[in-house]
Amino acid sequence: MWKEYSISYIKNNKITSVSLMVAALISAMFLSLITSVFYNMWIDNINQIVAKEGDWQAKIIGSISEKEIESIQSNANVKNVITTQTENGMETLVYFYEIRSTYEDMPKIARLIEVDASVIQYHDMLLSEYFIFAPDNEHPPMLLAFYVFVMVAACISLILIIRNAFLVSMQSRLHQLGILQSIGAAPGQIKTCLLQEALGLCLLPIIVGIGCGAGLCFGAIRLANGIAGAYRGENAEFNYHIGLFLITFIVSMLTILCSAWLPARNLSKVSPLQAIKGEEEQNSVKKVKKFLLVSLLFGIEGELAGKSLYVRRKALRTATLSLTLSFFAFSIFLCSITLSGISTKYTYFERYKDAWDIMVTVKDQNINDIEGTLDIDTLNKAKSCCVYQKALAYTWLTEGMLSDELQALGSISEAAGSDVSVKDSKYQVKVPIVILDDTSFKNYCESIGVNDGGSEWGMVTINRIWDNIHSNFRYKKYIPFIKEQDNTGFSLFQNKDRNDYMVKIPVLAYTDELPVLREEYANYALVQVMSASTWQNMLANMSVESQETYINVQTATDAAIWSVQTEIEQLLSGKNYEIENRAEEKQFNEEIKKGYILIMGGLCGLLAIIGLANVFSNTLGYIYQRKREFSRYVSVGLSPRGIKKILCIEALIIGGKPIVITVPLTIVFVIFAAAASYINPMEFLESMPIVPLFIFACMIMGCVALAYYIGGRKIYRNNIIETLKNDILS
Amino acid sequence: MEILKCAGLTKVYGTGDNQVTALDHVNLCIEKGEFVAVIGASGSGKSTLLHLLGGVDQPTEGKVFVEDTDLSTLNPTSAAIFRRRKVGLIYQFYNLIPTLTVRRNIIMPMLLDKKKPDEEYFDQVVVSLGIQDKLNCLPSQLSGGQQQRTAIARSLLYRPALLLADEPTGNLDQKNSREIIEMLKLSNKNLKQTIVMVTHDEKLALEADRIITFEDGRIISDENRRR
Repeated sequence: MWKEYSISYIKNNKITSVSLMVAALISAMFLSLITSVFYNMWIDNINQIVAKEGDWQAKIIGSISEKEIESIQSNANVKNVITTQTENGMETLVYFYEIRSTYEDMPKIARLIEVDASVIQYHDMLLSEYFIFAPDNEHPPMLLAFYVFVMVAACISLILIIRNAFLVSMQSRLHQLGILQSIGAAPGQIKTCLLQEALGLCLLPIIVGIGCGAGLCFGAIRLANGIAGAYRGENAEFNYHIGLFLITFIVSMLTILCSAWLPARNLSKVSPLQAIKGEEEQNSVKKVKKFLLVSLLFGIEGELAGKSLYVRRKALRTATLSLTLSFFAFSIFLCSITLSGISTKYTYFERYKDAWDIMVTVKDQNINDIEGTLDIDTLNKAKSCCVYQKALAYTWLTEGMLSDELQALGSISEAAGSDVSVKDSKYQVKVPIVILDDTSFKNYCESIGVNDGGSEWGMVTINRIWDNIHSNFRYKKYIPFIKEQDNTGFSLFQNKDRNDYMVKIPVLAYTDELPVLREEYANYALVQVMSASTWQNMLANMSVESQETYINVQTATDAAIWSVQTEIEQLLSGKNYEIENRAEEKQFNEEIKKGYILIMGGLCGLLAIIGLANVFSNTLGYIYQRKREFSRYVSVGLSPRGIKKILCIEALIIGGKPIVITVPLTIVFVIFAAAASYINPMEFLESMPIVPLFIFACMIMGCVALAYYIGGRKIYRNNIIETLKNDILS
Repeated sequence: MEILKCAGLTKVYGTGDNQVTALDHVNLCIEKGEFVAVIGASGSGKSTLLHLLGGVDQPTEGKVFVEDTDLSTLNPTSAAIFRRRKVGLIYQFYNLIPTLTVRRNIIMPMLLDKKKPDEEYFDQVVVSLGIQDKLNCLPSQLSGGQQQRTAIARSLLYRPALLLADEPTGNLDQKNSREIIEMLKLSNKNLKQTIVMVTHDEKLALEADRIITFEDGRIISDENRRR
């Protein structure tokens, strides 16, 4: 009899049954997707760590004897011991069977072979991936905790969707089940029937959903490989574990069983008469909030809509939370990306747009080794080719040497902080030195109006300092650093603490124009530019910052970047170098941005889908109760237009709430973030991500409107008089 | 003065073999200020009559006139406005809006019309029904009797031409039933309110001025008891 009853109910309530099946399918699919994505991220992390550093769990630094190795192997938990020779000396890698006890077993091993605990190194990174943390590490990694939190939160909201879908379905059957109870159906029988029905309806959607989720994960990994694989060098592999299927399956099934069982249990607490009359529903409203604003805006219909939503707030909680979170996260993310784009524009792409096209860093080479191999004459389509090295020195400046403008600002050390130290009323100032190849130095001198720059040894002083009182770091203003004097120079030294070796270098000219390079210099430093010959002849005993030579190339056209790069690669073959090009970097930056937007958009979309699924299950699942609710309104004179108005207001509130909450929060965030990063808010307004946010908001509103249109049509088209008669006037 | 008139009122439910004639060519006139009780066995057509008089349902045949308004000519919106202004409906299960306070429930028909209630009349009604202390309560916080009084207050507030009560005491104990009937009688006497009450209870029907008995969708007796 129960089987027949269930089959007939499913057949006659196709929408409710389908919405349950869809809820089960969507939830299982996303549960499977989320668990698969996190599992694959986890496996990929482990693979990367193992590829870089190996799969050992702990190691002993220093050489140990064969006998000691045997002692280590005698530990029951030790799986393998491997001794290797590295550039740091001998290392003994230890592998365990039970890696959870690595932190307990290794100290025992150290005591056994009588070595100090300080020679033990743990593979913390790998172990933490298995959630094994050092006993003295009180704070597990924040990022890992965040990942777990996101995963658990997403899973809980998906579980809530299934639960809500069942709650909706059960509530709508209260009347029917009350009739069954009234004719003698025992609560146990009803519970069993509902559980069987739930299993029958949801088993297939869950299995299909899990398969779809894994498929989506596979697609997501392929997409990620397409975006980042080329830059990462290797593709991530798709991994799937039977445990994932079992976990998702068990969690989904348990949720469904609990979701079906709980309303059935509640039902058994209600008397059959109450269930039939729907008194439970009426009596459940113990308090209601006032809805002054909606009442003021939309009249009594607004009040009824607001209060009706308030009464159903628990069922709608998933929708409200998911939709608000998705819109908020998407809007904050887009604004962050825009702000960061503006920042990058000023600090990098826009700032160095005309400074470089190709940048080569040649390792273990001095400027003289490169000069001649690579210059403007050897490259066909290059506009400029500057080979340079960097060095850092210091000099002493007295108060009297500082420019009037700087003195007017107050103490230099007060502005510069630890960048400038004071000793015996003298300032120790950083002197970054840019050593240009002779041709580039000559060209640079010409560009600043010094025509005989190449003929004498000496340096050009970049006479400027950031006026941090009248400008911020993003829109810097400069003032002269020192007084310009003829026939002068600076004594340079490299050892900050012992200035016993000092070299005085003459100043060829003062300027505030830097050579056109992709370089950032210290804020309160006196930058000097000199030729390679000057460096070699006057400062040969000093050392360069790192044994690296840089080549800054500008090409004739953007189109020539790739061909010039190929030329450079040929000329530098056999040397240890890294090469970057502006077009590639910009493209990479764009790709990464796209990737971020795709991932975040996907996550926000996922949240939005969860919320919208909840809206659909609410609007379509509560039809019976809503018909009763509207019957009451109609009986006291609510017109058909009034019904439409109430439904529209409800849709507006559900769809509008995430927007109303998000907009002020986003404004506060943007004001705060723009102020913190010294970005002009007007500039943000010009590039504000209004279009994608508007589209996202419209999609939310559109989907909510669609749900209400479908549900509302059923309420509206249904013969309300019949409901009124059957349930109220009977 | 005639306030309600039914001519050849017929209501048929279903089609073919399942066809049921709930009302069969009923002719009826009710004078202003009358208190009419409609009695009959289950399925006799008394509730169907009430739905048609209240404009919540449309007759298959025949006409209903309330204060010269032909209900069959009303579109859904006009019917809603008619229910709001001209008819007060009282149900066995009160039919209050659970999310609105007693006060908002009572004035709801006026709110739907974007009108403000006459506060003096409102006070008079709630005091006479004894629910003046319950105005800020939700329906769930009231007893059955209080809920029915609230429903009566709502039906009276617009000073409707017709007050239709469907088993108004069907869900109440004897004491509350007695009180509700007294209140209906009071409003009939003091406010000259025309009342049509459907009931199973013949004892209650005796409180009315006129008793109409239905059987198989027809009026089988119409007894005027006005003294």
